[in-house]
Amino acid sequence: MFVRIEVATRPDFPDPLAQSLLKRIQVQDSELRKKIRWARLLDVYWLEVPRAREEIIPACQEIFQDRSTQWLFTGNLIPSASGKQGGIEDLMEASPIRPGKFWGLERRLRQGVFDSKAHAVLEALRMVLGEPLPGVRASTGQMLLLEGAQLREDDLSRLARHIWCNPATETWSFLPEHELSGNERFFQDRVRKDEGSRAAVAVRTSSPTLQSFAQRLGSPRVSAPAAEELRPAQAESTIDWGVLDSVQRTARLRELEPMLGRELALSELRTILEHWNTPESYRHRSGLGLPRNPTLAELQVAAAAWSEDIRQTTMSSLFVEANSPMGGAEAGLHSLTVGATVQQIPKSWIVSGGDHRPAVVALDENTWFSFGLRNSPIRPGRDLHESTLQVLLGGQRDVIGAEWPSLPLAQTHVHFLPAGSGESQRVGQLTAVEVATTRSQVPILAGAEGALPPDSRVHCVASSTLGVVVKKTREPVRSGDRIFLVVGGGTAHEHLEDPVFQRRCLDALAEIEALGIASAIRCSAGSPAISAALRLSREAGGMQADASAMLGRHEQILVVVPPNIASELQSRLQIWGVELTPCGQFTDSGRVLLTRGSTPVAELPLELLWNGPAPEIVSTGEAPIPVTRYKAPDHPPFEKQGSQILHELLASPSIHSPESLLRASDLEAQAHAELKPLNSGGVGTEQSRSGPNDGTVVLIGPQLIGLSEFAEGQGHELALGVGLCQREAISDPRWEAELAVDEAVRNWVAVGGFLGSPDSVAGLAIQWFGPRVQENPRAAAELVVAMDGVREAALALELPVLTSSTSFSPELSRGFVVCHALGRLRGRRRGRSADFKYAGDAIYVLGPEVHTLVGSRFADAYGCADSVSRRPLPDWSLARRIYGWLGGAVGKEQLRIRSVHDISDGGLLPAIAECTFARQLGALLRMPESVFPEAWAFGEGFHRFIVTCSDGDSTVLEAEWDAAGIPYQRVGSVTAVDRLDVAGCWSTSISELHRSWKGEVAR
Amino acid sequence: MSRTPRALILSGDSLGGSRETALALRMARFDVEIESIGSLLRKKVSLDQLSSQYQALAIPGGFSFGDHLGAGKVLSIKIKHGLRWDLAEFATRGGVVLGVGNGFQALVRLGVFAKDISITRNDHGRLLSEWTRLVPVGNRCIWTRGLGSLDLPVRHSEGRVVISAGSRLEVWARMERLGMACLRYESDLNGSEEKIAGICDATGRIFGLMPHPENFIRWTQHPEWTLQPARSTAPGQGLMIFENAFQESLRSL
Repeated sequence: MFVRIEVATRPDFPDPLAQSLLKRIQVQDSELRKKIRWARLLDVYWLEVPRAREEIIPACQEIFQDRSTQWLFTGNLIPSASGKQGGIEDLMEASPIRPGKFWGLERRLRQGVFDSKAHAVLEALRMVLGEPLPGVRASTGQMLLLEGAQLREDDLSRLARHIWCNPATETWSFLPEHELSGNERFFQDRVRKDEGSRAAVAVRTSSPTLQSFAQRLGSPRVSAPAAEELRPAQAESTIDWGVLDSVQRTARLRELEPMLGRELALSELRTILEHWNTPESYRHRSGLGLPRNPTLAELQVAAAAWSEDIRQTTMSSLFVEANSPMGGAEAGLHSLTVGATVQQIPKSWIVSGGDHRPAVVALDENTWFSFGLRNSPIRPGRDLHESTLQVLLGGQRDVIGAEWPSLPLAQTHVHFLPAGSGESQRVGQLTAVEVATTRSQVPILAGAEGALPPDSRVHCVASSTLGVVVKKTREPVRSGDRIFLVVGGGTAHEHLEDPVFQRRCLDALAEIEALGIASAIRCSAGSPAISAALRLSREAGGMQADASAMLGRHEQILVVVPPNIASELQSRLQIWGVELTPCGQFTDSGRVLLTRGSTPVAELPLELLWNGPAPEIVSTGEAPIPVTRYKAPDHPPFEKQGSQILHELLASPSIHSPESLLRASDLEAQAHAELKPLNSGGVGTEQSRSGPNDGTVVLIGPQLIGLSEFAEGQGHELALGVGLCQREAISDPRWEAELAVDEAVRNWVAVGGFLGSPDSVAGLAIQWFGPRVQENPRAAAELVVAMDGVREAALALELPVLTSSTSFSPELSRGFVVCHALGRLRGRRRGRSADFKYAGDAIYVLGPEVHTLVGSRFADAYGCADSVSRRPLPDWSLARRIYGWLGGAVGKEQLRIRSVHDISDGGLLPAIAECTFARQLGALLRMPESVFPEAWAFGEGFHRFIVTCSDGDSTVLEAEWDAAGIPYQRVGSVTAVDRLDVAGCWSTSISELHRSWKGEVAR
Repeated sequence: MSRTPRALILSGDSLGGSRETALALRMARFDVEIESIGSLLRKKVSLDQLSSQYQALAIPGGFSFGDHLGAGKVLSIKIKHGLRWDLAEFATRGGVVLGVGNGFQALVRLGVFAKDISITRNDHGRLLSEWTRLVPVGNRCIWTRGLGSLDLPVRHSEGRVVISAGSRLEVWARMERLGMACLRYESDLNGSEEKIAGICDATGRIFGLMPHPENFIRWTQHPEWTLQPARSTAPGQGLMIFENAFQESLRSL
């Protein structure tokens, strides 16, 4: 029997989802919004259930109906399930304008797109009607019911195409009022036709080999492979080189690049041409029945194996000619800079680190954590929402699929938008963050927004994932071990991310790891499965696998088990609702063989794939000369308008509140967050307000490491800080990289990071976004000096770079660094927040004085007059003294400190304002007489903090700072009034400053 | 011979709060076991087996089935039609039941409190991710007995408790009489009927709530803990809810 069910919220309840959509329409198309007078959103289900009507009616009522809050429209199936007329007219009656003009706009998923909701419906049907339930099918959609006299079809088309639907994954249709009022859409034939044309699948499928799974689970159908995937005929096709010379062959290879997913480097082209041009190769290939010239499948394997994601080819390249310490080096950039720090600062607690894969750190015998990076420039034309999901969920897969598999605990998220980006773009990324984090239940514990130059056409997303290692031993992968692909998360061929499925996979795989069943679990990290399989095949000695499974364009999770465990693995994962597909096995042949059925389509020596072409030589030209562009000052005098400038700075993109981003995840209710990125004062009161913390502290407790016996107090506190720096006025990649490292370390130290002691466990993680460096000497030189700046800072602070990751995009005009600092606290008690605690407390600035506005946000916005001043430079020796004292490595009076906040973007006054927000306290500041007021208030530099203590503790602390050689200035005191008062100049309301800082995005 | 009460915590199907709930119950001195719903279904664990082996059942928070068909709906169908557990009967046999967040939503969908009570989207339509102050009411609920007002975190999009318009007066009167609306928000957070944050059944042994007590078992989880850092090793207010259940379970052994 075919059934169509429409589920509506009863009209006596608000419809928040429809209201939220109306807000989006207002933001994106206010003219269209004016035409819509009323809207409701309905869920729509199409079912084919091979059971009698008498069985189906109670089942549908059980599954779909909530009499308290919903109406069901089912045609004549269950007429009692709605209002007096039993149809959608009952809902229309609730419209404020009657008789109105109504439209229905229905959306549904395109062919091949996984329908997660239909999957839930099938599970529910099987529970209620009992298994087995052969032939049952389900698909889902939504209907937007609109009323508006001025609405026309072209308005609905605009609404569907640009606001409500994703054309890449959804189709839509209109239902005029007469169709809505009638019952035809519920008729058997009509539903059969609609359901028959339904294309979305309720079971994930990643290759034709999955058909058996799909059929077993009662999927409506298995979809065709996505357009860009290599089709069988293509995979088997041979590159016809005929009598072409090497130049022509190169040109032919270039033509194939779109099918390979990336451009091939010259060295890669050379390697390919050489490998397929030897008599030995001819003989060997003809023996296997393979053609003389490479197949497309073989080129795709090589392209994946040598990709930036897998080999970090750019960072392995030799950068020559730069007038920098790297000039003429014979080692790759990575091993000379960030990679070198792990060798030069050897630490016994680094289990694995120093490259681009997730680092693993041992806090003690039982507690290991991992830390991985994901970054991606989102190029024009790519879906912002889906790409953001891919970065966040891909980051989670990276740590579960790492060498030491880990359960993700928390993530960071920095989103760079082109300056002047519209609200809709910000809303798009916030929605993605909410969907990814709430449904996968991995919270964002540090978040920020950065601005790219207005002419940038890309967005950049930088994310990191902290995980707890679930298995601390590694089994070698052996010849004969079976390879499976996980069907779930973002691994289906339609490459749509599904965080709910991903959560299932993560839990299931963590259990598999904890049980020690699998030899390995790997994520292919943004590449086809072949790239992850290649690493393991090197360990085993070879591989034979299904070509279509291995060469699908999109990221996969591989699970490897000994042959005798294969059925147990499948059985255990089925309990979690996670499906697997077998796709091959490891061998000891020294070669990689891909087949389609029994026909070989690719055969390559492992050595060739693993070693690849020799490192590329990148010309860097001269090291870039730092440039400071001075903008003529254009601001009113501080004494008169300082408060106005403060308001404007607090509202600026790099300083304003991250609250809308952070509260899009469930950061408050995750048990492992001890110190959150937001401070909230006055919990449960109308006056409850939040201010920022510099970093976050996570407790890796006994429940996370699987200990059954434990005592209170067990576990390790881990602090995390993020730093980034982009300045319009200064073009100096080294300085910007140093500033980003310093900011990350400041943020980490501010919340209690323990630095400078032999017991310290701390390191850095570096992400780089920049233009492609090949054939771009300026960009290459910028990358070299930035990485050298990171190396210098890391060595000076004795913080090894545990992991690093790079992303290149031709749309970026300049490169920039995002830095993470992470490490242990010296006890839970050492955690500190940024908020001022009590009126009367003394306010100090710890760190060097700043006498210039050069390089500040103030200078970017208003210009600055002091063109003779140099920009502030780091003093890493002083930094070690300050950070060491704050972290508790030296001195003994740190516990007298009541709050710590680093001084970064905007300088002193924005930082002090931020300290006052959470508890609605004020501050009275005294500006020293001999200073340049704007530089004192808004100048920025390195290694600076605001700290508070009780007035009575001032003497003791000042003595300790004197002894430790830490510069300090007492700048004022905390007050109980709602004012930020710069004595003798001006005073402004803290509540109004908070409003400026908050500037929330309406979603 | 003394016995320790045992608690079963459901996991799987995206119930992400299992570990935290296990930690809270363990700190309250329960012997704890986490088992996935898929595994329980496969083993066909009956109500008799459940009540003979465990004194407490916890359905933790999470995002089961992506809240498709309504938050907690598919989970409740699995419990009712798959496991065929009658939770009221489990309580009658001396068991105690806790549903937190998604677990509470499932209890509501199961109808263990009343069939005319439901749960729907927050009236403002936003995801709530913040701390809130709660006020326990009455002493029917064994889980909240003796508690004063307390702070707990909330994270939900669908936490608004509603009563069917047609039977509102009757249902509310019964809830009042039996002390079922045992936990209220101090301020109106999501449009919930009578600011209800948690409900117990007529026996007081089955308790569901939208806030997350398992996420306030240490003082350092509270957003204002740095005001009183000397208490950094103190327990959080949520722990008492689990300790109450332990005491009750001891009595039932």
